[in-house]
Amino acid sequence: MEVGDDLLGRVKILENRFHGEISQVANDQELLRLKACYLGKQGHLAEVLRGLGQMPSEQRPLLGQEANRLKQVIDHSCRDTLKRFEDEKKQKKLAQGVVDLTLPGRSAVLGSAHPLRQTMEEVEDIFLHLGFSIFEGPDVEQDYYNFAALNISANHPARDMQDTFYIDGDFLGGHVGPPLLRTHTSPVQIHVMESHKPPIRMIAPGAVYRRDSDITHTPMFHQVEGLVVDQEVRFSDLQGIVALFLRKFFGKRGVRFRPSYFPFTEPSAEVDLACAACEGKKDKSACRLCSGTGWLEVMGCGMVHPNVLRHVKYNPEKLTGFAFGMGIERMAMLRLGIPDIRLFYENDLRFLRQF
Amino acid sequence: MRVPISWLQEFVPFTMKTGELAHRMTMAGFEIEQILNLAGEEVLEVNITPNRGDCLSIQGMARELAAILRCPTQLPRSQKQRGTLQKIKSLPQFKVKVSAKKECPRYAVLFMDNIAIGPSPVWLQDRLSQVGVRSINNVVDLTNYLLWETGQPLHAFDLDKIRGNIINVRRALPEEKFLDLRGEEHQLSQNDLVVADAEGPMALAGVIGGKDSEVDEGTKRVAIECAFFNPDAVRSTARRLGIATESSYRFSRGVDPSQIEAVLQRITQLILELAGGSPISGYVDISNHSVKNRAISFHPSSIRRLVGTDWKLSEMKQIFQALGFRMAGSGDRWRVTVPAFRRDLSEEIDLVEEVVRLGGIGRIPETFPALKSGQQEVPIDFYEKRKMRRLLAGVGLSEAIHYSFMDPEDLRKFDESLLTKAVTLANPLGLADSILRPSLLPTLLKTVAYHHHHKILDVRLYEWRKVFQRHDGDISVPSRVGTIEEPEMIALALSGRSLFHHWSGKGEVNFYELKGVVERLLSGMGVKNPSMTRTEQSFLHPGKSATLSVDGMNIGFFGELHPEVAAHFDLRHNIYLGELSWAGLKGHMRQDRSFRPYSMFPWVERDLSILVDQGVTSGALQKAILQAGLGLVQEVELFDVYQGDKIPVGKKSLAFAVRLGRNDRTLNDSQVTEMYDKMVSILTQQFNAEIR
Repeated sequence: MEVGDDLLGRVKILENRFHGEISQVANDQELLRLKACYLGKQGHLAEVLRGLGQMPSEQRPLLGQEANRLKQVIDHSCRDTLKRFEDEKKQKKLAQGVVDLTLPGRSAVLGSAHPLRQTMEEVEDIFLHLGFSIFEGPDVEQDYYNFAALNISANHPARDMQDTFYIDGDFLGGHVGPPLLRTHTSPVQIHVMESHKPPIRMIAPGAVYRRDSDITHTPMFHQVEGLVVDQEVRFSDLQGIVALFLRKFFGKRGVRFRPSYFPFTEPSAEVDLACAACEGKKDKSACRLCSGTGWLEVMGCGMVHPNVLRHVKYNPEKLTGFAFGMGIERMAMLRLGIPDIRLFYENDLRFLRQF
Repeated sequence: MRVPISWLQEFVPFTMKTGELAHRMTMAGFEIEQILNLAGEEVLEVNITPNRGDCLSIQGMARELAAILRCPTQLPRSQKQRGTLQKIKSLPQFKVKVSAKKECPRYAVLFMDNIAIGPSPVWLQDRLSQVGVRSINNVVDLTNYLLWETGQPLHAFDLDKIRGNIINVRRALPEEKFLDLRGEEHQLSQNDLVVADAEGPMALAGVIGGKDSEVDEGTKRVAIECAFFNPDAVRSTARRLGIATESSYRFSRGVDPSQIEAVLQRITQLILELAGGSPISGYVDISNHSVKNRAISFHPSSIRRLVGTDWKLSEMKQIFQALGFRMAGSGDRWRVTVPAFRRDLSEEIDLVEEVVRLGGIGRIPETFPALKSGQQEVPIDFYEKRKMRRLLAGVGLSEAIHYSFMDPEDLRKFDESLLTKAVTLANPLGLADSILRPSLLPTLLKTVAYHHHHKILDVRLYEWRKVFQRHDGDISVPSRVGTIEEPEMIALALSGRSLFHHWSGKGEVNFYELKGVVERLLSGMGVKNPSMTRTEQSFLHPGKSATLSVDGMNIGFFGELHPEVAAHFDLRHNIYLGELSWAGLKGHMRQDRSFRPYSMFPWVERDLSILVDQGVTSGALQKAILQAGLGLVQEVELFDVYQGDKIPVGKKSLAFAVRLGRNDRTLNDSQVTEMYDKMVSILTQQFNAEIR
């Protein structure tokens, strides 16, 4: 056998031996050692190449090629194995930091506005988008603003509808009578009309008080009052604004206007919203939400009574207007499914944090 | 008001189903709240608005229903057969007198003899039970029956119990007393109208009868009163004495005096049928009243102007005719004469309402008013308030809303000095709700206690409402009347575990957490340089509380609840409270928010650990560090405070991270060291500090 064949054969043997040994390597240090063993200056491959000089010259390139090929094989193989080791190490490290997905997260606890406040702000926003202004008034009012200017005279039967809290003591001077806690937000209408020229397009949110306390009434509650006064304002405009508001607030639901009575508006109407619990059902009689009528009363409204306009020295022959009012508690109860009005004033955190 | 269907059908012939009837009435302004089934019959529960006193009877309701359905009514037969009962001027040996003519425009009384008092027949008892009236005896039941049927209240006196053979309608005398038929005694005033005999009041006119003249089993002769009392007179007495009866309800809304004669005819007939007897002579009728029908001018074109849709002239005429109105005039100028019993109609708008009500409100379209003004006004602090609320939620507080009322006892337990500011109600629901809150804190504290009693110890609440504060006037100076102010306050309450409490690290709420909340709120609203000094609020812990001020103006306070006050409110855990004045905050908000440049170069951080006497405050040290830094200190952060056995008694150790830098370049080592040494020497000199 010739020297050249022998050397080529040794390259082959080296290659096989390498493949056998690398499969046994357990870590990156062993790998580096193995690599040095084959490719180092004193390594196996160098040893084979030292026999190059004894080869016939025509065979030398072949051996060179084979040796180079083996060197590349070893390089690649080592690099791949090293990468495998590194990947395994990373995987192992990542596997150590696994969290319990069910443990509670840590963050600053957020508070929240009261559901009545949230409802109030939502109502305000809808009307702000419709170009309405917002005005506020005092909770302690004079008889004139709460009643007389709103066409409710001293012995008007409608005073029974709104039993009033009066303040003890001499305030505001004797000629205007004892101050009272306003029974509705309507006095704000009068204050605004006294200080502003038409056109008026406003709402007045706020707390109101009635001497009434039972399952469905709290002695303090909240209202939003609306007023539009201008030339050529009509009942149909009132219906447009009120229905648009209700559809924005409650979503697409049936709305109906039903003739009613308020001293400060005429014609007056109650606004009913189709009952969500039984809308579309054939038998409504069992519905507890709407007492089987299919409708829920949500607002009162009407055209501003000419006497109210006269009180603020507006000419009812030239100006017309409409007013509407709603109870925020009722809106919030219907919207959020709150069963009892008294929950709003208990202020239990388990209630407050739901909204 | 309850309306039995069969009773209604005696006057209006209708055959439609009750559900349909209810809908038609509801959409014409008579809301049917419920359809009841009573004594085997359907009964409507009708909500009658206060303006429609004329509909507080079956006949009134029938008249209205006939107009709604555009069909004729059938009046009771006795009203068509007039003349069986004679009107007489007076009775022999008995006097009927009206002294208070203004309060009693018409007073009629019928006398009957040989009455047999007994139980009512079943039909009558059923009718009364359907409308919710208790059966008493045949004569009393018939007066009630006619009240429901006609809306005219009647009252039966036992004629033999009337002393001195006189009935006088007069004002009550000073100090006069009256015992009503329920057995309650009332102290009368001179404004009250009474029906009296020779010795005293037998009835509060139009309100309630008296015990002494009541009809009972022994009654043989009766006097039946059928009157028209002034609505305001009845209303004011009923209100003042707190008596609400079916009679006072109707009189105060106005009854129809024109039917008095017909009602007397009918009750005579019914008593003859059910209780025997015979009328004595006839009836006395004293009238100072004349019925005038009102004429109202009406322009059909007003409908379009006010309502936004049209009805045909013929439709409007039909509606008015159905309501019993008479029309004159032509074109756009009508004169509409309305019946006297329609007290609610006095001007054109009232007629417009009738057209809408009976013409069908559902015909009116939805339109939109023209937006002619570009001006939109909101309260001056509207958006600041919304921002503040976001901050309050951001620091973990939930908003509470309490009634504006409170118990004076709670205020006394909290801070007695506030009582002088409190506004008192003249007619509270009870003592526990008898004053308006001059401070939000006591009620908020009670809500904290509520949570503790429910074993919820972690409480973070705020309330932002008006408080009510009284400023008494000077009686000797007429122009200086007392005033009531309504400033807005923001009250804070914390208890239990820290906001930062977590399974990965524990902690309780403390003074510094509340201070952090307050600081966050102030900085969020742009309130600059608030100063905190020890407070003198009696309800706060003297060593763990602060008054907050800006530019020398107090804007609030906060701190730990005084343990004694906590005990008053039955609170066993530490509570931290604060109250901020919204006006105070608002007045110091920085409006000019503008960009401030910051350094592009990294800062150098050095720790300063300082040992000082316990009395030295962190704030003073921090101020000194900033001053020593000559503008090169970008941030100072306190990161540790230590007091304990590793350092001498009476000393404490504070550790600050000081971050040094310049906006235009990086500081080099020697500059930093020079600065650090300077700080150390200043701290050593000023505070006798030891650098550790």
